Amino acid sequence: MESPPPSVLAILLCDQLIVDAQSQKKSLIGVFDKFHSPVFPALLSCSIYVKLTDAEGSYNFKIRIVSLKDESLLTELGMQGTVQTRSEPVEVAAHLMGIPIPEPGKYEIQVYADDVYLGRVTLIAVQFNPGSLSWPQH
Amino acid sequence: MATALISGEIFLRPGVNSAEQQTGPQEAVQLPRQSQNLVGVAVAILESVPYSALPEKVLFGALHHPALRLRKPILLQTERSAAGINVYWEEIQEFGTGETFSTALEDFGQTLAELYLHLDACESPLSPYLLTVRNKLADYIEVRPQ
Repeated sequence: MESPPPSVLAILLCDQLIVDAQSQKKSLIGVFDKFHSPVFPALLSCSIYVKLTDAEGSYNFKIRIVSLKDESLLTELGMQGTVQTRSEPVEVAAHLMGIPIPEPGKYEIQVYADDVYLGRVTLIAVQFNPGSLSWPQH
Repeated sequence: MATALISGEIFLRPGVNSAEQQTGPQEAVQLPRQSQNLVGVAVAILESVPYSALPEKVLFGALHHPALRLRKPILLQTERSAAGINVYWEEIQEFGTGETFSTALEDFGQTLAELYLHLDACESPLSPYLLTVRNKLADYIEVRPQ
């Protein structure tokens, strides 16, 4: 890898990620780290927001969804990006559609740049009873 | 990545025919035929072997430290142990350990940052080995400019 490895400032999962067309500011709606479903296997659709610093040059970013039960890989997504200057932070955002979550438990969303491990965020999948009165706490 | 292959035959317990398998040996119920043209197809679901996300080697770029950053990624070896996962940097024989791959990498990053800061601040003369370690760390780690 020729480009220096970026450092992770934040990795967040949210229901929606809205990019303002004019200012390019990102709005993260419904930030969560728990995924509730009445049945499993379930499909998860969400957005991921990654803020990096120390990045410069072209990168092949990779997002891997991993089950912590056995370190098995569920899904892998890739995207390319170019960062102009190392002195300013950079944001990477992606919509994840239909990620298969086979069972309740702990999962990780791992972020790589050019096959270099940068960091991760943990996702806990919880099965809930749809008949319960209270909404599950995220 | 999970896939199921469908092929082969239906596997039944020895000595049990298909009607008993479906309804139980005590009360075999005759269900109305659903279709006169029904053709039975023998299938078996083969469990797919989960694709491991744990590589044998990984490039480490997760030095989460406010004052330090990496010049280039560090090649680590990974291995499973009774306690979980170990990652190992052969060049200076440093390792990290944790319940998962990510926690092992975080442990390694913490160890590395502490070692770099300790050796960098050390005023007493270092042994030849520690001098080599410090030089190797300086190849990979630098102080983040303010």
